[in-house]
Amino acid sequence: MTRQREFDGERWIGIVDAMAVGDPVSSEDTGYVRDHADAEEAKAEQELWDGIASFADASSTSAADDEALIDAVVAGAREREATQGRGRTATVIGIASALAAAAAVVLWVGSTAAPEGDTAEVAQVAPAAPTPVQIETPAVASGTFTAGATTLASAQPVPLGTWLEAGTAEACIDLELATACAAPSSRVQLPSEDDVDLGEGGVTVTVAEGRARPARVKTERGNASSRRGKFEVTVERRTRIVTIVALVGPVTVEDPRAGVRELAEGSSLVLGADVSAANVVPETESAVEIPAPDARAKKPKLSAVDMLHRAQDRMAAKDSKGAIAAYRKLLASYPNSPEAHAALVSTAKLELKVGSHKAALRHFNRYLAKGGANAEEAHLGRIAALEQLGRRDQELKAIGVFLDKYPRNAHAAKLRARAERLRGNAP
Amino acid sequence: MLVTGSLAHATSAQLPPLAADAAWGHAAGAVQGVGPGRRAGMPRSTDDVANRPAAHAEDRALMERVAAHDEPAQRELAKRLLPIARKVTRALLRDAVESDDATQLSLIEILRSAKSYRGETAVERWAQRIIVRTTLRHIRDQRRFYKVVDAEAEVGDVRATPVSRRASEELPRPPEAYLAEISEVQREAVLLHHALGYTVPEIAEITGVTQNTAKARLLYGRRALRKLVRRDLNIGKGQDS
Repeated sequence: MTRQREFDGERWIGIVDAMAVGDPVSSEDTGYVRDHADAEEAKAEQELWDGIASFADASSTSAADDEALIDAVVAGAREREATQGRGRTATVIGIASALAAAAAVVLWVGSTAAPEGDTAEVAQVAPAAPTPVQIETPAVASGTFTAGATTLASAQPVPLGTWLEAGTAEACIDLELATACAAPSSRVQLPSEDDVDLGEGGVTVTVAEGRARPARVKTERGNASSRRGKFEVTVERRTRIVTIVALVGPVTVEDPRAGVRELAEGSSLVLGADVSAANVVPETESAVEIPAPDARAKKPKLSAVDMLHRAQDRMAAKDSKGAIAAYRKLLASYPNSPEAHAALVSTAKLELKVGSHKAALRHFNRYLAKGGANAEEAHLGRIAALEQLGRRDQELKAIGVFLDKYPRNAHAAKLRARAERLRGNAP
Repeated sequence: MLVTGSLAHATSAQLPPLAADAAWGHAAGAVQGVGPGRRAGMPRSTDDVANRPAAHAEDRALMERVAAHDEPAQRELAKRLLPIARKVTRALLRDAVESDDATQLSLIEILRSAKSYRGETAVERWAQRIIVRTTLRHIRDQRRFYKVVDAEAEVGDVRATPVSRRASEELPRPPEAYLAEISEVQREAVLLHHALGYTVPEIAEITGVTQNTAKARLLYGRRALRKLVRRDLNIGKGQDS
């Protein structure tokens, strides 16, 4: 006969945690947990794990949405392949010696620091610390870069003064107390351990607290730097327009024309916007030298502006499907470009029209996350998408937000009536 | 009788250890503790599908066509992997719209990586790791899942944490609410384990950390969640507060 045991919360916690992380447990401990399944704390915790386990449960999707997503995937893969085939810079200065040094590099894993959580409990449960390994900074943190014919992968040191191209996925470089992540196919180089030269594409820099010197991104139109926080810099390939976004914390911007200014968190700045799209020549007072394009480069693929125009042409020709495909190619090829952002609302409206409601909602949301001149239209579209998807609670909330912000909109009365119906108040 | 999250999952489709799975490249040893079994529909490690050379030969042929940019093959692969991608991204991102974004990115990455498939395991298994990594990277990049909403009220719904539909009488708030309050790396570890059924060695491999670190993150994540739940139980906080 099983002796009834009082519930010992600490013992129970120790056992279930051991089970979760794969540590061995005795059959007696297993029995203890089973015997106390009805304890209030045990039941609540069980609900939590069961709830999380249900996250992977399948949700229903329509065949149209699946097809639309697969279309976008195939188009996106094709465009990235075309980008990869453009050819790479031939600069290989210092690569051979750097790679020879890499053979002797030992990695210092940042995770050897104390694990997150209650440090008072570390001694109780933390296993033996792994052997620390040292790493030279800067080094590739994730993804791959190419420099000519050489590929640099994770943990390999990044040679200073050498232009690199990020691979087909984002690639990051570890600096001291900072990380610089280059968007796919971006071109960057490190003139020093604190600076990143951005030739084209985008780079996001995250700076940890405690850094003595600011981490800086330099472009031909100006520089951005921060001592702590996160910021993003993009250089549009054709127009050379530079966009700086202060994601977390303030960013110092050095503009050769306007001097030094500080960008507040959440705001952005564009440098060189007065340069016409046809002007692709860097300014003479450029902050960084851009090497000559690779002579072996194949015919350049369409720019974001060209893709946008192509999509607009198809829309003007009332070819909805063709326009959607063209817009999606733009979104897949230049996801961070101003052209892609501007195209989000048009894409979403077309998708609403052809019944791809989930895709439409996704694009309206993405536009609204950054905002823009078409926010009002995007809100309306979002409400329509939510209605089509049957998400009544979200639709009601969205209507409320819209009416607060745009009370005089032509659709306001209709939306108020709709809100009443959703609340169940309307006859 | 199912008694705890861990034991409950163990009595469902528990997978054999990963030691024999060449794709993981390490001998994980026997999983001595009891962890959640692989979620239904997720690829298994050493089941009969993975052991059938004929299945891998077919997969290799398909992947060769994909690597050669054969569009029908690309579409076939994307369609085949779409359910797995949706499950993973949905588990990690919750919101259906956001998970679609991550699904798209993951499948593009898979098509681009087709030439690296060596046929040592089923395509689903090979692809799932790419999907998880791509999704985690997407989450970190976008920081959309659990961040406080923007100052602009209209995007409150855009970034709002979707609530699981699972009814719960014991839990004061939905699981998402608790997950939002722990650190990102702990949340990753908890989701990878409890939602997707990965073991500590697998979590370490996926997230690129040591097994000790993965274990600590999971442990501390569980403890942090437990503390939050107990705090709510103590103060009698309801779901609508």
